[in-house]
Amino acid sequence: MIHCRLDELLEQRGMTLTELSREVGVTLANLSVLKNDRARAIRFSTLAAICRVLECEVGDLLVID
Amino acid sequence: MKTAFSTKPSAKVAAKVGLWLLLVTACGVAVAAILRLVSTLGYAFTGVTTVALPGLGYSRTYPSGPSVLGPKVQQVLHGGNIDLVLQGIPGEALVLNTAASVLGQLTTLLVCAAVIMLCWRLLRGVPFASTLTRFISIMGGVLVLIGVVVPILQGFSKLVIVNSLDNVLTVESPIGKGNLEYYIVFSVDLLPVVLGVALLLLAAVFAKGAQLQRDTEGLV
Repeated sequence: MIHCRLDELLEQRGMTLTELSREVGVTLANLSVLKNDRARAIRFSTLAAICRVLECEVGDLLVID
Repeated sequence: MKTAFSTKPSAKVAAKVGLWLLLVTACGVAVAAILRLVSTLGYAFTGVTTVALPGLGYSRTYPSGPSVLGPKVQQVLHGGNIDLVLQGIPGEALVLNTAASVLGQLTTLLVCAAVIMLCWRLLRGVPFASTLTRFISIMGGVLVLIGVVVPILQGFSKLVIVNSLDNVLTVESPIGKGNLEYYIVFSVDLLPVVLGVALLLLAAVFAKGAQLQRDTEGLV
């Protein structure tokens, strides 16, 4: 199962989900779905935008449990 | 879910206003259809019936009036067809005629119901649902069935009515006499069939839309 480490990365950078939503251009609801591992699929564009804002790699964001 | 309405705010507002107008109009038409249905049933009980028949007689050549066809005929209206206003038609013809009229009004009600449901779903932003698709396909099937059944009922009714009139085969008669198949073909109205087929196609499109919606559910 793939786990999204959005919570940990936001905490490390001192950023809130709302701020990330504003920067990335994805709704808060969708980011919340991603954060809680309820997403079934993610667009490459969304992935790239999150990694750009959080200055991390895809492997830092998504890990396999 | 992105739809064609979710672009500019002004377009969204215009679309919502349009949908509300359509929904209110459909409700109004449905109410009118119900009232017309009630009046149809009321007229059935008063015993006065208006029947459209093909002009198979020779009324253009000889003068004719209601008395030629017997005491049941109150009026003969010449237009594209011959409309007879009758009092006291045979019971079986009354039942068949009333059933055909009721089914005809049901066509209007079913189409209004489909429009109301679709508008409501679009206003809520959830147009694709399996229950809606199933309902629309059932409505479409019923409409096609009505389009097939109503001409048969009306054909039988007209044959019974014509057989109950006097002097139908004389030169003074405006209506003449046809056979059952002719009266059925004369009574065919393609509108319910066309609307039914359109609703069935719409149901197929909505089924595909529901499948695409399920595929993109949870997509971030």
